[in-house]
Amino acid sequence: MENERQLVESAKSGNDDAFIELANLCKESVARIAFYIIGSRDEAEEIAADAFLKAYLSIKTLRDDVPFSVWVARIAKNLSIDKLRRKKSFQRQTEDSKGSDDEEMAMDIRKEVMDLPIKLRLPLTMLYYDSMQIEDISKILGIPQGTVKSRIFLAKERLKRRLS
Amino acid sequence: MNNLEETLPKVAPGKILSDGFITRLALAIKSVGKATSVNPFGMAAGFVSIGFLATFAVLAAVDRLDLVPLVISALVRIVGGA
Repeated sequence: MENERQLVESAKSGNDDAFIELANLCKESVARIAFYIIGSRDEAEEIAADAFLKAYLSIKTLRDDVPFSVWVARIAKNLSIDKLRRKKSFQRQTEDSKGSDDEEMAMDIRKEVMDLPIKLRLPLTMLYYDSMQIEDISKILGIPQGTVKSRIFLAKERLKRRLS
Repeated sequence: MNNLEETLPKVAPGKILSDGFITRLALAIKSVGKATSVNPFGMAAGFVSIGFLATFAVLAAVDRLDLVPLVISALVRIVGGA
């Protein structure tokens, strides 16, 4: 975390390599948030790139009390939701590879997770897929911690019903 | 599904980004950085060039590079206010 602060300061003073190192530290978590919203790996990658470019151009506005990873994740979330709204119809990509029973079960669960409404899907995936803290999820999504917990609870209830 | 809390982390989707993401991002950042330091309209120029590259990539992906001249002439008309 101390290292991140130093990198942010360096990036703010115009060091591109410091910014790229920061991006490298959180690239997957940023892309994942886009993926959980959009459902396509290719589009998630485009959104992650856009989010980092937007962050690069406005790095000087990043407040000291906000971690870089949370800030970029929030940008990626907003870009993903904008993109989703612009889409006339949302067609989720399906994974076509067939694997073992375990893999098929995993695919069934992932499909059910992706069928959840975004407001339930996002906090659930951020907690269980990415092991994020409730506090960070709350900051990225811009909702109170209590709401994060209740949405996760509702998501799990809905998933249990569908998978039983 | 009794232990959903234990199962979910195991079914998390793997890596999202393709190889070379950071290299491509670094190139884009360097080009945007260079554009913004050269002139005050550099930021806009950076975005325009990214937009143009993205359009070119999309046309290449759908094998319709023949549309590039059409896109350029449309852009020229828009910029020229015709």
